Amino acid sequence: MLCEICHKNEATIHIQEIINSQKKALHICQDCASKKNTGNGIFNGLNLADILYNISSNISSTAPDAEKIQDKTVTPVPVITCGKCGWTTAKFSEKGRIGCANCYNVFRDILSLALKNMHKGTLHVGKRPGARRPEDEEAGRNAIEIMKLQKQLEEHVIREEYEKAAQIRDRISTLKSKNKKSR
Amino acid sequence: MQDNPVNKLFEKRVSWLADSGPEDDIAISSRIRLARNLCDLPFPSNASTEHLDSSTAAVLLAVEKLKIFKKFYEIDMSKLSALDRQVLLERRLISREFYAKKQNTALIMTDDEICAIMINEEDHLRMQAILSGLRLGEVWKIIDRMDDRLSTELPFAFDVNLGYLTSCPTNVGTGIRASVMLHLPGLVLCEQINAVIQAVNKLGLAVRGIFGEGTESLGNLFQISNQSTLGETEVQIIDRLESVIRQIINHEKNSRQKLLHNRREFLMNHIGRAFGILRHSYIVSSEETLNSLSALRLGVDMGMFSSVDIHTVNELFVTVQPGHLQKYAGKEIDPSERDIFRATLIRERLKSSEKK
Ligand SMILES: [Zn+2]
Ligand SMILES: [Zn+2]
Repeated sequence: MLCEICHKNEATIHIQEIINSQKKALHICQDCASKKNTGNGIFNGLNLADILYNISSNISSTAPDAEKIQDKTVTPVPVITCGKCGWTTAKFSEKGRIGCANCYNVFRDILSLALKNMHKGTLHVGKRPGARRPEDEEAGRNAIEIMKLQKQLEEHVIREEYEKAAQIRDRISTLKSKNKKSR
Repeated sequence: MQDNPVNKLFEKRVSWLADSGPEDDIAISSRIRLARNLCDLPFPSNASTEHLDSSTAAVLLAVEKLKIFKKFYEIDMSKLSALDRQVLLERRLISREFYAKKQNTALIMTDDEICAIMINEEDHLRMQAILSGLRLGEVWKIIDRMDDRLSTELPFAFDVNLGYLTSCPTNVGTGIRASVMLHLPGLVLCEQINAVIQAVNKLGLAVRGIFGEGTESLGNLFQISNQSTLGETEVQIIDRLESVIRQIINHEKNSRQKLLHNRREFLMNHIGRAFGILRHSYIVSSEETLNSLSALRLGVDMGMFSSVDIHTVNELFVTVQPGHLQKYAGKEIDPSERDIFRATLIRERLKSSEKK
């Protein structure tokens, strides 16, 4: 079999890629494989430092919003701090770790960006504590449904079909609030 | 604490190296780790000594109460010597971070070394299960059950949308890290290993050498593991990893056949010389040992040394490490003396393996 990229060398590397949930097989030679690697795969050389660098450059843009929220209450604070454990955005970007379970709520906006880059999806669909399986439970089924809807939502937004997007957004928020209650 | 449990490890063989498993000519071992935290306690890197004491006590109590393990050891890591901690690291029972941390940490491990729980590593619990060969499904069954049982006693930090909450966001969701250790001398000799590593990276999986720094891998041992932990079920993650591993195993087999047919003398020379070094040296460095062991293992796999037992070779990969060597010697020895001691140990092991 000849390489599908250069059509010259024997294909020695057989890659299966999942692109937009379509399975694609690619048969290429060693030369083209090393060239291909410099491409733009999300996980390519996934590096926490890089992701956190992106986060910290995002902090400056989200900080004013945080201040606005704080303004309404009492004093403006330039950084977000977890009320439960005292962890701050500065510590987060320095160590790449967070302080406690509550931090996932406090740093939600920053984290959602990072999680998108790190993982295959943004919602948990795996097992849950207490020997229960997600597929046995409404919350688990909802989670899987939300994931599907979020993909559709992105596509509608890209195609500028805002009415359809709004409908899907409503369904997502209904499902999400159902899951919150079931907690 | 009674007598040192690390000494007991030396009375028997390392099960994930000494047992047989499917595809174990290329896939040496399969391991799964799960990260879990206790709710209402800050994660270990942000916790006070009292917090760390509570998480240790809670986990130990749960393990004792639930009787999850038939025979197990509880080890207070702060009471172990650096040498003993190194031995645990070399046997893959603890992580490098855990080895360095030592204060306010504890280890639970089963007598057969298949299951272990690191307490207060980066997360309150890092449990692991490890078996020889390519057996991710079986390993998952063991650790899934361990996790289910523990969750009946321990309140794990869990969020419906984000799953199990972990100290590092790279582990959130399932908290799973599944990995397989592969021996890939054929791909290295055919100079195809970099292409394979790049292809595997492209699929969202991580590859790293077991020994040596950075991309260099002494002994041609590589660990392939998942990186994404959120958005897929545990079984999906494991299946995806396993299907890639099977492809790599096929590439390795093809490379070995290619070498045998196209470069027979080169291959035989490579293996024969390695055997000579291991069987007859009186001074041998760690680097030369690992590379020679890799070549010998390849020769045994390809049927060239019917008298040498593959599991003896497997175990040597671990027993020639500095921690194990010094433990065998019964004292600390400096690196130049180690090279002599190492050569003696290898000669003896190979000799006694031949007699069988
Ligand atoms: Zn090509
Ligand atoms: Zn916090």
